[in-house]
Amino acid sequence: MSWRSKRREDLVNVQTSKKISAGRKLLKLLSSVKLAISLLAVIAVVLIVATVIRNQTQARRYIYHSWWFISLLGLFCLNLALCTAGRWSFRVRKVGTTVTHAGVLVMVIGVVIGAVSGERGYMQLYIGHSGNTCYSDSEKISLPFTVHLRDFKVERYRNRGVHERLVIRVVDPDFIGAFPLEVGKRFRIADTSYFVTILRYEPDFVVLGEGTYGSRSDTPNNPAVQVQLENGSQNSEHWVFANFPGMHQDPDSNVQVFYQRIEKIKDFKSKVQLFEAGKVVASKTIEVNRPLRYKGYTIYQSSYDPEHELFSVFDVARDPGVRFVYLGFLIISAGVMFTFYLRPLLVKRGGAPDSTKQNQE
Amino acid sequence: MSATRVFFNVAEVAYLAAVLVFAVYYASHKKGFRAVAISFLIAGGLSQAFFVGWRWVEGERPPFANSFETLVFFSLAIAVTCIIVELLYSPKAVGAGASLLALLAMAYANLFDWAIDPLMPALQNSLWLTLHVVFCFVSYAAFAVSYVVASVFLLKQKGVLRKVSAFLTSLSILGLVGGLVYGLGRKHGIIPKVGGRTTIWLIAAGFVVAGLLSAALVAVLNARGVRSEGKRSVLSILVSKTIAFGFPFLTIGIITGSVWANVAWGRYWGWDPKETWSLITWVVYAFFLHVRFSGGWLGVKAKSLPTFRALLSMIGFLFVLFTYFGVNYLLSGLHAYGD
Repeated sequence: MSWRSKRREDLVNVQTSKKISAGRKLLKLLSSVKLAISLLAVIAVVLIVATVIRNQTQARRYIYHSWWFISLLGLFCLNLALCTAGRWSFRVRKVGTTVTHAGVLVMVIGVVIGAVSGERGYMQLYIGHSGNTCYSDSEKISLPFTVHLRDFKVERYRNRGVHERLVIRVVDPDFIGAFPLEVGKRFRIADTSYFVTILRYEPDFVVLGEGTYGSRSDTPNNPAVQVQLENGSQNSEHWVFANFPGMHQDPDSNVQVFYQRIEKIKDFKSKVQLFEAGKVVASKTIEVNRPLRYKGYTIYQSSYDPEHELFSVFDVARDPGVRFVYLGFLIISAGVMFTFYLRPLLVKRGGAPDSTKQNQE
Repeated sequence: MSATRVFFNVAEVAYLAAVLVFAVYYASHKKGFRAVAISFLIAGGLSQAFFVGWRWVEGERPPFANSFETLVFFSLAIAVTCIIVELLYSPKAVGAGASLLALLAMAYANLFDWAIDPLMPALQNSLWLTLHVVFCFVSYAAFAVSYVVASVFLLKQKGVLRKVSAFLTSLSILGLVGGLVYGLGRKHGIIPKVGGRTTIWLIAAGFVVAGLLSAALVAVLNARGVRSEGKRSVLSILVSKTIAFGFPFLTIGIITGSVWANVAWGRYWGWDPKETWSLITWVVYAFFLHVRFSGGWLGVKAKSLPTFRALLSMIGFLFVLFTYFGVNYLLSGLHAYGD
């Protein structure tokens, strides 16, 4: 070998070792706890900023679903994977950490599968109607079956958790506000010269004779209150009804009083049938917390027609990754419980090493 | 007065008594007082457990669905954690602080409506509601006790640490008590609504008063010759132990919430502000648990690690408080129904 070729060989060797050392350095950085800690701190700060944004749709667009935030989370996962791969151990002292970190990775795999191959959209159906198309922000999804809404009902708590108040609207000066419904209470309407007194309450209002009123029963079938309106020397009394907000209201009056009675919603019940090739393949009453699952799709009660209660809205989702997410959840739970509850007992028994000892890298 | 209210009031009085008797114990160093204080805590906890159980039966649903109910459970969880910590480790000055937090949580609960409201459809899932809330609040209670331990630990240090800790402790007590007084005043219509510039003046005044209080506290601690028991003291270990106890609970609390969201709405994560803040809190405590692996790279030397951890524990609890209350009032989202 001539001295020239020897020199060339040396040069090549130096370059390769430089490459190796650069690659190793990168690998070392990517698998370091330092990077993990820095990334945790950065992610926390980004998340704080994201929640401060008032418009959460914008926060989703510019942060949570943006390429750079997803890349940041991706980098964290890569770091976690390398960290775990480089330090995995099934010794009692380390197995908990290995399992927890592996659980996070399994969960992330599930999230990625869901994001790549999952589908999600909403479907609005009127009672008696059918459909097999869902809509998401960007696309139309055709389902392999037809959903038929047989019936839809909104159930309300009748006498528990009812929210009642007096809503008063003044034209001049412009004001609208709500006041508690307390019989005998006299209050001033904001900065106006008007005073309102609630004189009487009847749960099931009925006219007994001329000028005499009462209740048919104690059940709030037709709740009404009698209010007195004072403005200087002017004085008027009238009845306002929860079920008939427009009754006895003078549209030209400067002040209008409404008796608002909101019964809390107990449940939404959508009776649905699924059809495939003209045959009923599934039927269920879908409620919140009780979705219908069929062929990988899950149909959730999501919204409704608040005015006439004639239609129901469903969220339809297909997420093949969710089983991995759940598996990840199980592994993480087992891992943290082992690390923080079982390991201290086992390690103590085997001759306690110092748990607070600094682990130098 | 209904029977349930009696249980609630008995618990309140018992926690107040525990705070006072613990204080007498610290001043007199007579062990009998410690036993009495712990007995008050146990009595209060039992009474409160009866209250929670009674409400469960009366409402025919788990009593974990609104601010009142979660505060009551939070207080109970703090009391139980405090009893366990006292019996296992008997740390100095932690009992009074933790009992005070349990008492304050009860007092704050009083600001909210007692009525057993029927549940909205999404919350009508007893299994997930119970699991999610219980896991989250047991973790919050552990972090609350860790916060108290950390502040006591830092108060026992010398120099700047003592001063900073005294200031933070005074500020948090003043903030919690001030908020309570304001809330009660507003509820009974005695105090007018404060807003705008007055709020800024009040906060500024709060800082000044906290400064004066902390100066007094430092003077008392110096005069009494209070000293650190070393970096490997019970307090230093307890800061970490309480967090190590709470962390799995928080992890499983978030996981159960996520599974529940998937059952009710078909998505296990939606970046709702409450969800995101629970994740931020989790990240803060995960950071706490990983700090010892940083190998001095964060500028924290091995010998100052306990102090750094104590500071992190105090900061971590502020994140818990924000996730619990701040999000409800300052940010909007799905969990708004918790009020």
